Amino acid sequence: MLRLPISFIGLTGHFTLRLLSYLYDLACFIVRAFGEWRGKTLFFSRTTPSPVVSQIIFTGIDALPIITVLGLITGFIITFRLISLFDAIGASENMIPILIDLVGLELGPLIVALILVSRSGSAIAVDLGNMKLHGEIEALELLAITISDMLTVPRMIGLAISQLVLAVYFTTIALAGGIMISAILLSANYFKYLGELLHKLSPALIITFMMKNLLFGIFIGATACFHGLSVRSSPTEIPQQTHRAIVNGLILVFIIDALFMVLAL
Amino acid sequence: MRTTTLISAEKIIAEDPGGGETQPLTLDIPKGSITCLVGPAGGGKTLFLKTLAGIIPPKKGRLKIFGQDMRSLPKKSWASLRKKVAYVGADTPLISFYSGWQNVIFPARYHQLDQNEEIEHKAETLIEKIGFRGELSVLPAYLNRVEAFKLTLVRALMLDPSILVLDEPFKHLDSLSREEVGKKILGLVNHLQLTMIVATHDLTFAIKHATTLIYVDQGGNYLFLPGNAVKTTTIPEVRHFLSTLENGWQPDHEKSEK
Repeated sequence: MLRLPISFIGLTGHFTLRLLSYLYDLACFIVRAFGEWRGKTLFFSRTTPSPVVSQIIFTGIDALPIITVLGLITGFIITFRLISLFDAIGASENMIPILIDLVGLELGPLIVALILVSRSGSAIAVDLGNMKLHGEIEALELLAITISDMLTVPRMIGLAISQLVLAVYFTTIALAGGIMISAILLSANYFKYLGELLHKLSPALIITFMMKNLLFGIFIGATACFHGLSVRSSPTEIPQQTHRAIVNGLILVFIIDALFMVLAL
Repeated sequence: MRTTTLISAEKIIAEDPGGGETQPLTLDIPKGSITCLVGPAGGGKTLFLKTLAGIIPPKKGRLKIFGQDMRSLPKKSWASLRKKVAYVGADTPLISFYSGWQNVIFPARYHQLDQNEEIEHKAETLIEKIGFRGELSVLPAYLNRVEAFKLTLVRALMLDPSILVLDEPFKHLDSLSREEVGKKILGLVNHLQLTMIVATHDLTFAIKHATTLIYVDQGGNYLFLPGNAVKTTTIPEVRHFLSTLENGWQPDHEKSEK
């Protein structure tokens, strides 16, 4: 009779311990990577592109079309829908702070993070996994090149910058787009909310937004690098580690988001 | 004139990650010498190469590289050692996301060894000397093995090493390419005044050019100075190894007996 509850408790304990152990390993990986980082690859010349710049181009600039489309759709589905609802119940005065909170602080960073985890996180894990498998990592070490300098930290920084910039872009499109759609479909009066949006932005809000997005980016990059470099000697490990990088990256993003929520209470 | 010893090994035993270990080896590698390691596959040549290059510490014995005891090598000295001792294997890859040209120049640029113009000029000189015949602007995946190996070699030499360690440089080459690449490597070694340690199955190259030839096997390691002294050996396992080689090498006295 007691077998099922006990095994449930055991499984919960096992899962918690594994999660804590994983978080500890990941934290050590990040601290060590930044500890070894000397910033040597920040500014390579025109013939040898900087890994940071390459990562920003791949993660940030190449993702702009999909972010634009998703921003417009979110603007239509969420912002326009909320404005219509607030209009119907006559609570328009609270609308902008709630929109900023919901779309700006929650939805925007989360949707961008989801895209980055699935698009860039998986690509980084596959890339580093292949490099490890083919001996490129060892070859770099034999040339006295620090892996953190060349591969991991530039990717983390590139992802953090891209996450922040894309979140700003996405949020702007989602909010401004939704307001404009509302103004066109419901009433031209809603155009005034565009100006109000800027007035409601407080320094605390901006700092929270920046911190959250930078942390999302760092952790998405770190998870991808950590799993990519965990590949040892078999090609079958690459899809396994990529899968883990995506799943763990998503879990971490939601954990960080929840922590920000707890701190804001 | 007194010769400078760059590497000094005293009864070193190398160990592989699987737990296997080699027979002890004692030798001094003077500046400007060419040391060739020959022997059957699995005998421990690569293990000794990596140990002599300071990549893995010896399990037992004393090893000094540039006078520095490898048992007490500070972590900070690793980078400087790697720049002074270049290690290139037949399967050492180029970096997949850089073009051939970028692969050659980025280590020197990373270590800020010189101005960009000087680095590029040096790269052009070395690429010309190695006789690279491929396309420099393409990714390594589009280069054939011979040309990719040449660029791997040049990339290592861009860091101005004093010692060049090569593991099976002729592994993927046909006999014609072997001769050509061998000549080019020797040309670079002379031009840059390098000390070379090479593990090879090409006994013709080893006998012709080695100042020291080491026969490495699980049964024991034997030194021959100079390399062509192996031709007159009476050690049974070495004689057996020579007779089984693809190119039919046999000790001189065995040939005369027939």
